[in-house]
Amino acid sequence: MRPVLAVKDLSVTFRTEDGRLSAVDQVSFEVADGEVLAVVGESGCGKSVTAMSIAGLLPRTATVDGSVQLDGTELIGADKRTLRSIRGREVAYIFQEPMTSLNPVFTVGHQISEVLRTHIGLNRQAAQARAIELLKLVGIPSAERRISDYPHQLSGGMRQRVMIAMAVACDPKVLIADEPTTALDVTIQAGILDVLRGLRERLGTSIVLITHDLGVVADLADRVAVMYAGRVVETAEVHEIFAKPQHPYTVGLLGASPAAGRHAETHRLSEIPGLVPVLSEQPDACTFADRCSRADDSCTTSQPELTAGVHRVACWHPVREAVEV
Amino acid sequence: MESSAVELALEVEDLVMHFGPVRAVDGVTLRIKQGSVVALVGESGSGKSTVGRCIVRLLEPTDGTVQLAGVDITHLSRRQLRQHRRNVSIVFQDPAGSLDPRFTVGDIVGEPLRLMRRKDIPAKVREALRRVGLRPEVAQRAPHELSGGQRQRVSIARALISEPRLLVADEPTSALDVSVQASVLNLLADLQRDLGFACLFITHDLSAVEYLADEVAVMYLGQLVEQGPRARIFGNPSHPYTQALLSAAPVPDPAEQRARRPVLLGDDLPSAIDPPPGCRFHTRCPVAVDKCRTVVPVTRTIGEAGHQVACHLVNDDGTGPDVRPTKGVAR
Repeated sequence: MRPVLAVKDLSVTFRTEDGRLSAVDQVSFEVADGEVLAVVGESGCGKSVTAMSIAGLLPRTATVDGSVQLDGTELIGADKRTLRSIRGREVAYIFQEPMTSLNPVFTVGHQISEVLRTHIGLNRQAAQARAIELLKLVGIPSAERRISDYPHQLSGGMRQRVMIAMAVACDPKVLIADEPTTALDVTIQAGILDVLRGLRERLGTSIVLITHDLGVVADLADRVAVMYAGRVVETAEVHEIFAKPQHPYTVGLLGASPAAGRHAETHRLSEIPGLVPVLSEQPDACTFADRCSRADDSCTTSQPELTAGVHRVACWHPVREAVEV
Repeated sequence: MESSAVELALEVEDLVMHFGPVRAVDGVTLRIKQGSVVALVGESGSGKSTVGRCIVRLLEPTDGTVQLAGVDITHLSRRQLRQHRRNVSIVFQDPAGSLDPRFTVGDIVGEPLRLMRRKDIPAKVREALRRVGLRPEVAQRAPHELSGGQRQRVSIARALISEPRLLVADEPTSALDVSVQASVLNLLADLQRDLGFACLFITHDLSAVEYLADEVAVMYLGQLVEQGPRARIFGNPSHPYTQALLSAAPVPDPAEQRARRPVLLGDDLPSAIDPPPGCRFHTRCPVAVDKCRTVVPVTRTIGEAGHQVACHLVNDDGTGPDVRPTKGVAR
């Protein structure tokens, strides 16, 4: 089956005062119909840049190479007209901070209707009715009344629900959710994750979930791609990656994540020594080598490629033995 | 009471902090024993950071008292307060914002000692840096040259250099990445064990404090709803809000996470300007009854010693409603 979204050898570099900065290096992944792919990593690993490059949301200082195909249509290098017809309609985004993505001077009903009128050509009345349906779909109570609210009248969780309603208004093939719950409290986050789960089940939307939170990944993802320093270092089915992580970085990340009810006896989290490298130039080496306890000469002299198969790992010395995380 | 007061590093009594009409903190009573760690947990707007700021008197409380090691600091003059400042330090969430960019790390870490007119400051700064896992050369650097994790280590070194009896740590790891967060949490745990200071650890993230805290206090909309020994709060929470909070935090284990379903509370946190009458949680509580909407629940001790809860529905032996769907509903 052809994937809905196929990213191949995607590289992004930025022009800066200190020369070229490589943010994303040779990233490849695919998202199947109705699948939730989580892209996981820490700050600066390139996960958000990857997400934004998919529909050309990066600034002019960025140079994007490689291929992003949405249902067979190439998006990298596509003209503005093609991109405009795809953005918001075929690929939709949800960002971390809904307040900065909503226009404060229009009601939420107006903003959702605008999407429907622009992209689908609904008339004012039909758009209004559909907007109410969408607000109900994302679990906003008394949607008929809420539709006349301005963004500032809504709580953070409600705003994020409105953003999701706008994003799915045109029934996109792929929804890119960039840290959708990071700015929210856990009790609110639980509700938003529930909405995303519902969308996938009811509308069959494919979701690319960008997050640093392994708890969110465990909750929602079908498959996981772990990014480190601009590269995908491991990708596998969600249960597999938590149970049998193979890349030393994935192992470290899992061990460092606190979880309620799990550390009461150990009194210690595992640490990853050292710092994430600044990538002015992608070196011909494993970028994790200088933080890795398994590293040897091969790791500092040549760059490991992702292996083939279902569980793929880019490491010269992957962890095969059972690990306690 | 006299003798027990001496053993307490911190005693907060009926603390109230209003900002105009906003009732940010509305009657919080909290005690921390010498050398013990209390986690103050709550979501945004619960008033947890305001409590922390009142304790170090960055804010002047509207009402109530704060005692540090038996001394009431709430009504001390600025001059008198200075003598007691060394007993308490605070570490903030954002190390970039709390370290003055014009000074070197050495100046920043040594400043509390300079204000106390101590001697041998450079040696003490080196020792303080070593203790938080930084090399002595870091003293010559500027804060912006350091990573987020290193900056937070500098904040901790500065907070502990005056050997305070109490450290207020306000979301010290929330701005950090997971791998960095782990090392800072481990560091705080090591330092607390070695130096024996008491700690009020303010956080929204229950999982981050589980292995640090001796006790947990849960705040909701300006008030404490439940507090008690760590094992009790994590293992057998009584207040419906605590249960919801624990059930909502996803665990990094797909099999386990998918088996549990969080309590969905609804998105609307009531306003602290006009908090709900009766129990403040009743507007979001799945098991609220009429009494909850009108009568303010009194904080009382239930079950084992030190476990306190403010909920009408919890029985004196600690049994009561369980709002978590995976564990069945009210008995």
